[in-house]
Amino acid sequence: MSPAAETVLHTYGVVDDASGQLPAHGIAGAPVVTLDLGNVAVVVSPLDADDYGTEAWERHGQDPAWLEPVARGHHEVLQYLCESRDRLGAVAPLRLPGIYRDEAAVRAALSGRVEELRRVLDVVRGHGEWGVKVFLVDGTAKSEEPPASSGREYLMRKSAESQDRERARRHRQDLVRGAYEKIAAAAARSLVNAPQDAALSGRKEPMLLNSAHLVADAAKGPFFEALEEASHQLDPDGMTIEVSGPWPPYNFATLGSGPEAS
Amino acid sequence: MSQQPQGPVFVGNRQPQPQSLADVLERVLDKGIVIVGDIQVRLLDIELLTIKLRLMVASVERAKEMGINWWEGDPFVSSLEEEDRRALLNGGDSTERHDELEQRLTRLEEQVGRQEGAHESGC
Repeated sequence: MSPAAETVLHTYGVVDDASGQLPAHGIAGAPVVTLDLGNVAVVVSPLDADDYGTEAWERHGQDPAWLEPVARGHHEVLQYLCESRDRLGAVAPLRLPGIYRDEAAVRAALSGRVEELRRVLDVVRGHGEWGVKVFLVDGTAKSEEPPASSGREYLMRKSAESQDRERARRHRQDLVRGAYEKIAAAAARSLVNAPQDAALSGRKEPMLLNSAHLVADAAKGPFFEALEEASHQLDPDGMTIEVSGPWPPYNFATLGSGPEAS
Repeated sequence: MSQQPQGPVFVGNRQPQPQSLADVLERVLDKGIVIVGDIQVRLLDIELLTIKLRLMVASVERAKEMGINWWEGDPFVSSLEEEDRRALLNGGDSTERHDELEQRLTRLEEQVGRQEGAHESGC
């Protein structure tokens, strides 16, 4: 165990070199600086060790009130880096929590992986990440029937309704799969994440798709066209598409494992 | 069907609304390059975190409406008595959903508790 340091280093992400623009401040108003690792640079902030060190993470890492500003601060720095490096440079986000005792520790952890990091940067260079969600806004069958005249009729009707619902569900599934394939065909890389639970999304409508797409800046036109088409295909069945982005390429900045289809 | 088909909706690109917190957490905690550094931090299930967060946000909003400022003292919901919390969260109507949410939260907390051994309650 080493004695507690005054500050720890929080790592945001990896960039091509130390020359690009940096945001005025990062998490908790801390300065944002780059450490040159040779062929790449890593963007970091010195943070108070008591407030953001290991113990703070252990103690508060599950406390949303503590975590939200850290997560948002981390994201804002990466968003800034992406926006200020539009064409020339690339940004590869690092996952939270990423804290190190000091500069030497960051160098020790990253400098052996410069070639890999370089490859990740080349994959995401000139691309943005777009999030696509499909919500079931209106899944109700619209037919209004008079009340059942007998118990038997009521039961038969119930059974027919449940078959209809199942059929509608399958039909929607096919449509969503088709929409995803259409959208993915217009992206460089795509992947599907688990749909967010209503508690996470804050939405009443069920989420049927939660996907991420890596799209070349030069290919945004065809990508948006694919979204438009997919949207029109889903709309008559009560489903809407929501698009967010461009995000830093969180979903597509991965080291080594997972040979992702391109 | 009688209406114009809708196009895709673009949401949450900085101004005026920030990106959704669930979207941000899903990405910063679960995606991106993982480097095993000198400091290892155990992190809880992102689902648990975001559910807690939703409960907290819902409670703060509700409490504000009611003119209660308990969160200034202790910002986390679990510090409230069960009944207060229910009242704050529901205001009466959507009881079922919140009950379900709370059950899930409890289940997740139990899971986490089993994984990590006993830990002090309260954040």
